[in-house]
Amino acid sequence: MAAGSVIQYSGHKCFRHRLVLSILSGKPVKIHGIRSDDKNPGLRDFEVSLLRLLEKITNGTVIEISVTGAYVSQGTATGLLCTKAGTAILLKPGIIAGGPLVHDCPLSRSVGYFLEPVIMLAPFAKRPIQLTLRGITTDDYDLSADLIRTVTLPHLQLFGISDGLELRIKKRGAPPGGGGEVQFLCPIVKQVKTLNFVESGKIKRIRGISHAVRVNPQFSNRMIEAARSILNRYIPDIYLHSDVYKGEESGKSPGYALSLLAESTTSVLFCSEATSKPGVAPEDIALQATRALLSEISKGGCVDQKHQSLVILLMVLGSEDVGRCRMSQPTPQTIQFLRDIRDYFGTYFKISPADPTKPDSSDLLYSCYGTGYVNANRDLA
Amino acid sequence: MTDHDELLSILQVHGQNFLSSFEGSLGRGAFNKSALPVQFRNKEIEEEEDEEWQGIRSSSESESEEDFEENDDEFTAVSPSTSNANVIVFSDQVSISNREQDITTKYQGKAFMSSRISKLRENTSFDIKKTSEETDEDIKERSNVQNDALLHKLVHTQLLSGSLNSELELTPAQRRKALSGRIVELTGNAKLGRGERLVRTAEHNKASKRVREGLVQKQKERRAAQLEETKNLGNYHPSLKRLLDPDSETAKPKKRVRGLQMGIGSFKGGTLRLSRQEINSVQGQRNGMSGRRRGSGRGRRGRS
Repeated sequence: MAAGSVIQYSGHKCFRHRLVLSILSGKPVKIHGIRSDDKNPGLRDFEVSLLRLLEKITNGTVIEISVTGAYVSQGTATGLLCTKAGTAILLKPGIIAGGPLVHDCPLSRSVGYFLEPVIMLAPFAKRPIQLTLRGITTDDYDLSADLIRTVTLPHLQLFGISDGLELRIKKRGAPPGGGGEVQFLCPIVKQVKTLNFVESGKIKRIRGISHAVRVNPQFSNRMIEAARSILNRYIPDIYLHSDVYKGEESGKSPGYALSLLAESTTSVLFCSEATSKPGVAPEDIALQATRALLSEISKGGCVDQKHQSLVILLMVLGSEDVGRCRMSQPTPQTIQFLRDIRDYFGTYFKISPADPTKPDSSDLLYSCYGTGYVNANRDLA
Repeated sequence: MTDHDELLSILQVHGQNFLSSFEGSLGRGAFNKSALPVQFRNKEIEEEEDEEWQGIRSSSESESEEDFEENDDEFTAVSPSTSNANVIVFSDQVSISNREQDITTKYQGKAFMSSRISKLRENTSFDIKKTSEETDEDIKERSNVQNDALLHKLVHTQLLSGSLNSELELTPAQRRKALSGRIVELTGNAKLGRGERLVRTAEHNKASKRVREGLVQKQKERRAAQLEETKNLGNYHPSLKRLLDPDSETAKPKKRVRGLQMGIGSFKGGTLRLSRQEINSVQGQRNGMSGRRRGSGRGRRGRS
């Protein structure tokens, strides 16, 4: 960690990605100008909670949050003393320790927001992570726990992380009350495998999870019927599970949601979901989810848009070999992520049209030379 | 006739060309793409097409193995390496028998909702036929008694034999005795689990008289203390006598009386054999017994 190698950023966007990259590469990061022009300037409560979580997962991390001029510096075991908003933070990463952890997430974002950076860090920890997160499990903004379990974590399997990988949904919690609980278990690996994923294949089956908490269980069935009415035209192999939780495990607020995923012959996964809104019928929610799934499938590629960052990161951390993946057009977050990877790891991606013979296909082939990142933290005992 | 043969050979060559024209990947790709919309709209036509099409199904992923066996035709696979596209057969569900289909979908459904990611996308590698056969055989073969015997054997050979288990931290002497005990069991000189005891008692017997007697005395004391301890704690039951005092095992083999016991005598070979004692117990004996009677005897009525 050479002195003066602090990487500077400004703005609150791509906050999680920058913190994760800093912890993985070991380079300190300084982010200033966080919502400085906003009515409520500085970090939000969920961002502070995320910093707390990252501090729990790692050992030796120093996080400094500035409160408009006065510096409040924190040590390792004492935790964050000040939760007031700060417009600049400095993160000096330690090592990723892992182990059993519990974290209560605030009710402003769902557990998916906190789980995504943890998923990026967990395979490189010292000990296998057993993280219990409490809060809202299904939300509009982030991936719900169902989709993380059925889509995000199987992407880790592509890179050789599969034995002991689990996500248990103990309780569900809908906004605004929350009350959900998920447990994430992840094994540690020495090095991730190189990815070579260029065949999209054709969709062979569609699965879905429709759940309803603290409402009429028929809502779940109604959503399934409405989704089937569209999807049955395409493939016969459709199975939508109805997941109804009752009592203690159903959280504090009512809600229902439908998560859909489509799997292709080459095990490419596309996903979509829709959560309940007041005043909207369950059939409309189901149609919204179905149409979102079909539009995701139409975009093509081997990785859907929400998981581009995860796959790109793991490709960069692979062994020193050329990794290739076929994906659709990058989202703005992905583009910024590619720029940040160049800052931290110095790796460039070569993005070329996947099928030069077909001019109307929008698929792109992303290839890069892996950095050969080895998990040096891991407990060799 | 030669014309006829010629025509036949021309026809055969034409037929071979026709078949081989479907091997090339380009030709197959074109077929698949054009067939897709047809496939989804009309299932029956698609089924017929698939059935005729068996020749190139070598690299196909079918919904279940049953499809493959049903649709086996004369046109067997040409060569797996030339086929590039994956072919999926969506067959009409009634063609698979109900039970097998239920098992597949139920298994897949449970696997999908499980929290273990490695189990999530377990495909139809679950072989239905094999498992159903195995369960029938299992039921026939293994009765409870056989399971007990197997458990006994496993416990005494693999689970409790400590000589190779590094977690137990045995000293070299203990390890040697455990190993020789196992060897004695294997040669058949001792029952399962009693080998090490045999070895240790043999070694005790080699000691001098005082040491030997002292060892035996100490063992007795220890066993008595243990028995008292279990009784005090309330854990004792007479069926545990065998466990707590293993030396008394030799008294065990009493021959079990076979047959129905009617209470008196034994019934063998069609005759009921009664002994003198039994007859006497039913009837009263006259001379010898009268002297014993007091009080309510027949011949006595008080003293007068």
